[in-house]
Amino acid sequence: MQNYTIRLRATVDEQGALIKALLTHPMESGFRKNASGESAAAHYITDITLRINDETVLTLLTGSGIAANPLFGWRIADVRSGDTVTVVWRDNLGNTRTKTASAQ
Amino acid sequence: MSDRRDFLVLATAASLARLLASAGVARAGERDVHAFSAGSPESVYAALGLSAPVESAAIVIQAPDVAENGAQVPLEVTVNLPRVQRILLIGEGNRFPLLADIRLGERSKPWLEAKVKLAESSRIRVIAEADGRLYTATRDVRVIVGGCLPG
Repeated sequence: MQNYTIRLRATVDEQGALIKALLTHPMESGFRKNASGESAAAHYITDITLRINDETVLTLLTGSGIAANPLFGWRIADVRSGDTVTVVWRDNLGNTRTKTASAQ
Repeated sequence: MSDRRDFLVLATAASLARLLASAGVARAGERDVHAFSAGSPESVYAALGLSAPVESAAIVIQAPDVAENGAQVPLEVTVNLPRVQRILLIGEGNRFPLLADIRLGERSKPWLEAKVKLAESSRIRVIAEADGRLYTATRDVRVIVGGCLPG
């Protein structure tokens, strides 16, 4: 069973909020081979959506060239303490995870 | 009669879809599979239907000059332009160069941090669309251990 977790933090400052997201995901390109020469199947996040209080503010379409266990930082304007920040990802195998945090 | 009308409706819808596809119109946020599986920077541009971007010092790419591990290369991109709608990250030496295609909403600032894979020492290219125009900048990164090699 694959372990998928999202760590999400939104820190409010004068300009809005700095949002950091750490996604646990193998981001396997499908090119890597193990010792016996077998390729690991491609398994990577294809899109990520960032929402503030149900308004989509950012969409990322990603390929297998994003590092394993990807870390992202974004800055969003007009975020107040207590606003709801949501990150949703989907991968090429149809898995999806969502995490919600309150802006601090 | 109704068969004929259905046929006409279908035919019109099909030709409209073809027209939209040929004009390179894609819904915002829709993933372009061809762009992500394109094998060279030039074919990424072709798949996305991008015209030639203008070199711009307004795009600032921060990355290590030398990356010990090509599998985890930290990038920080700042675009000092108004109304940035889209940012593309491209690793020119990678088998699939397009790393990410980012659509920014109005509240999103043109800044981001990400960790990417680089297969070899190569150029990172950032393309930004601001106010409907395309701008670009590059940064060279030397990679000690490639991020996409058989491991």
